[in-house]
Amino acid sequence: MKSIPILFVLSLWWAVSMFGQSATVTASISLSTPSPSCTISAVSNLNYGTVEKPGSGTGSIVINAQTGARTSSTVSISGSSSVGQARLSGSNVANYSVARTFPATLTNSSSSLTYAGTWAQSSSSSGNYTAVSGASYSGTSGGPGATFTHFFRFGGTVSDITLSKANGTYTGTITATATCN
Amino acid sequence: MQRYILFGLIAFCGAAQAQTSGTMQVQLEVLPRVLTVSVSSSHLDFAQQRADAGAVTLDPATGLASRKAGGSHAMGEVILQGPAGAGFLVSIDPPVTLQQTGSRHEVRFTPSWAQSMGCNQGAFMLIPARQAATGMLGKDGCAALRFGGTIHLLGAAQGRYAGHLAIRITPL
Repeated sequence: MKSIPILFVLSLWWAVSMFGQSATVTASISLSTPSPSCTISAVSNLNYGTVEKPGSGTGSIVINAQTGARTSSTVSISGSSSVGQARLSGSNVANYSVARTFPATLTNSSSSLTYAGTWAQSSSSSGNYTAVSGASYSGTSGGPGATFTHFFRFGGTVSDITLSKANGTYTGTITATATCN
Repeated sequence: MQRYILFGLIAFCGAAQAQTSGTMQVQLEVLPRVLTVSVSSSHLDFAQQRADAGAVTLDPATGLASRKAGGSHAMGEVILQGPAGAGFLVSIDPPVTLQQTGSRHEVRFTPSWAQSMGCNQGAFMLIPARQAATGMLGKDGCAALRFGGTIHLLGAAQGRYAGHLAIRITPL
């Protein structure tokens, strides 16, 4: 289809040569590669469930980012838990990077607990998650014309759970930012 | 005259970039210490005693009565369950007055209790405190409390005497 304007220009040039007249025609064409686009969205929040404060000492609770398994030390745990999950999907992307920000603490209205986050990545939502070290992860995709999806899981350790901590719900926010080229 | 056609081809191949961000919440619910309290025996019974028996004691450590004229005695027993090593506070309000049914006659009752650290061993230790004391669940996440006490019978009127002993158990 792009050859049609070119043929039209050439035919004009031929006509000018044949009939001895002159004309100036300006033609332009713009070619661009498809713009990369991507979206990262949370599939599930990171939920540790419920812990009962220890009578003495310090307790902690861990969710393994790769497996989603929950374990604890010194504290009794109950209720359901879930590993945090996020999905990055995009199109026309040659390479991408994802940077995460973990909160240092989980807080409620009057107290805080220490939080140390971990994360993992996989090309499959169901398994084969590999731990990510550091605050960012980079990957590649098929470039223009291709679509891709990549998966991330978030876990970590909540520690410093003591008898003196306030009862209630402690929360924090994990932020993930993806840059796609 | 030279004819020419200006043919322009402009191609935009500059680097394009997209950025997106998302957030997720991290949540943890912290609960206070929880103890499960079950009363395995709510009947504390001094059996039949002589009206001038003096001080009669149901020893919660041994489960024995210091004296009795007849019948079977019984002690109150409470089972506490929770995380192994969890602490608790037991408090009572002695002395307790036992009243005769249908009259104003009273018998003074001073309660006492003993604790077993764990529910699979029979040894109870008498708690010297009269009103409040702390304890701890055993490795099996269990503790047993046994309640007895002493009554003083000096010329008490014949009849049946009864009262209530309130026991408060607080997780620590």
